[in-house]
Amino acid sequence: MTDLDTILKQCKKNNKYAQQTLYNWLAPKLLGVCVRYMKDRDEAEDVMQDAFVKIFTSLSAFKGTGSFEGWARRIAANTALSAIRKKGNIYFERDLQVVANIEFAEEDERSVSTEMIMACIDDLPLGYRTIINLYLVEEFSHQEIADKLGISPATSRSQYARARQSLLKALKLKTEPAGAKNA
Amino acid sequence: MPMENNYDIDKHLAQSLRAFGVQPASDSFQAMMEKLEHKRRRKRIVILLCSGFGTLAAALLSLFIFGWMPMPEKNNTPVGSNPQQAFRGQPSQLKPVVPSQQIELPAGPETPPAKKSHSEPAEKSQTLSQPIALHPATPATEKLKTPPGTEIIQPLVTAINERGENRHKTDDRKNQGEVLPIPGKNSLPADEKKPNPPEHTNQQEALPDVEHVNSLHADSITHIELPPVFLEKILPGFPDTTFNKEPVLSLNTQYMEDMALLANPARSLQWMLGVSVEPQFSRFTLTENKRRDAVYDTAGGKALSQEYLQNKKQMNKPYFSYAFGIKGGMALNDQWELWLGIGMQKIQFYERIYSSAFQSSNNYTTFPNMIASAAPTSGSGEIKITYNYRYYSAEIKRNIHVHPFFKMNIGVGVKVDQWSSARVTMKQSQLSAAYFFDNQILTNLSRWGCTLDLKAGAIYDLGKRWQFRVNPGIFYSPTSIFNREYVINQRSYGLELEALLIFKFAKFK
Repeated sequence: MTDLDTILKQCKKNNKYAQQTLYNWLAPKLLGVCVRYMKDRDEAEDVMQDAFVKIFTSLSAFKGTGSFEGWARRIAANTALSAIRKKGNIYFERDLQVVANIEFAEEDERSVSTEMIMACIDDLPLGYRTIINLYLVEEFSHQEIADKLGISPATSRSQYARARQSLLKALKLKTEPAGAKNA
Repeated sequence: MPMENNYDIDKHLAQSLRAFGVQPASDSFQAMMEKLEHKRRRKRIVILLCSGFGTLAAALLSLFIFGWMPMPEKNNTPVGSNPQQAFRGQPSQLKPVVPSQQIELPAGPETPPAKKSHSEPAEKSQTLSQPIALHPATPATEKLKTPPGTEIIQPLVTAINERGENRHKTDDRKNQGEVLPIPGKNSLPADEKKPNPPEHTNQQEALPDVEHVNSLHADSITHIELPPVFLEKILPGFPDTTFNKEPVLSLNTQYMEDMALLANPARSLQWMLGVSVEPQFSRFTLTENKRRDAVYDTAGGKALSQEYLQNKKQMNKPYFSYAFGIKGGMALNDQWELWLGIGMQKIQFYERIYSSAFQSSNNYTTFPNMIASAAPTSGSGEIKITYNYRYYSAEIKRNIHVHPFFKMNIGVGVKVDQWSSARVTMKQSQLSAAYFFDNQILTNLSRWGCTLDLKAGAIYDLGKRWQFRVNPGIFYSPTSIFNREYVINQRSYGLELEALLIFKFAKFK
């Protein structure tokens, strides 16, 4: 039995030390997930706490077949999505303009840091960042995304294409040297 | 050099974003634990409420199935031989009153033969023209108030009895091979000559003048007038004798008993025993105690008491508690009830500890949520306060008969509370050892208190002996939880919901 199994077993028995241990290990990761979805940091923390409440109350539903972290991340993502839907401010831009393909050089890719990506994601509209998170990071299919957001799979596909291009464009601008930007 | 495969940048983005983590705030865990605790508390309340409603629904369902639905009665006695059974039939199928003048009696020759089902004894009543109120919805009190002679079930029954006897005699004669002459009619077909039960009285035999009324359906007639000629024919003493007898209606037995109680002032006494479960939703009133120790009137003491009161008020939230008890009661005339009971009650609520600028030692009382040293920096500093006490209750209730099948009661009660224990526990056990709160028995608790309550609820009879009551109510404790010298008064008030299962012993009359 691994340490995680022991901790989970104790958490099921409502052992506060075990709960705190699990929280300390998992909280930064889940908060990272929530921050990707929510623009506001306090909101993200709220969502993360809600996700933990769900995790602790439904620990018995985790059968141990897959990764516990993956299971917890999915709960966090779903909780964040519920919070976004509850707020009702998610919308998708209906710009029919064809987006140009933005290409990245290998050296550009190396210079792209996580902070840079997060900064660019923060600048994206909520619809775009949601689609990026769901498709690119959580690896949901377009059909699943369509079901979750109440849109058609085609919309999901097109929105993802635009969101990705917007993200890459923003990254390109950040990675380009100042001189190139001015030029 | 441009990348040939866009998937690489996607992969890089995905990996970067997945690995992204943010350290949460230091008090985040405590906030999450509070949410978790809140959710668990709410879940407990929901479970309790659901089980309460479930029990109530089951009780109502069982009442509907076993109590309210008219059960078919086994009775081998001929209907005509028992006056109470003359109109038993199916009272629920009786229709509203039909004026007697609207009944058109068909001509004699068109009358169908006297072949009737077992459930049609009431059809004989159509031969009468005296008003008879058979509608079950008519309050029995009205029937009892009706002057003698207006309702003549008894004479009608007597008439039917006579005819039933005639029928028996006729059948006997037929069985002996006699041919019975019937005025104005040929003999009945062979298949209709077989002996019928007594309620299949052949009216042609006994009542040749009114034989045609058999064609009318009894269900459509509830108000019939009997012609005096007919009454004279069937009742030798009419109108002097039989009408003085009260009609006997065969309705719900309990209903009849209740109505009999109303009509008859004879006193009855019934003993009862019950078990109760009583969830409560309460809150405290917090005030300064005017009779507190004089030390709190000094400058430091006053500031301390005000700070303490203010702090307590800030943390004063509604809390949930429950009680279990047994009670014995007596009912007088099924109207007034006196109950005496004993039970256990548990109150549990949460407060936070805080450090005070004043020393809570020496002359000052030790307060459960105040410490002299610094309040804990880690953890929520939440403490759980639990009070357990016994109560002795006395209640007076008045029953109200809203409907034959629905009774209510309203009552006032007083409970004498005997505080047995109080416990203060730190919620974070790792912090408990650092402070003196863990498992501390409060010394400032009052030994005795009292609670007043007002309840009104519904009574459901579960058969003859068992009864279930749901009594929502309000309560207020005029006495403080703490003793007379304590710095504040802490009284509780709130809502309660008593579920009471009662066993009723036999009535003494």
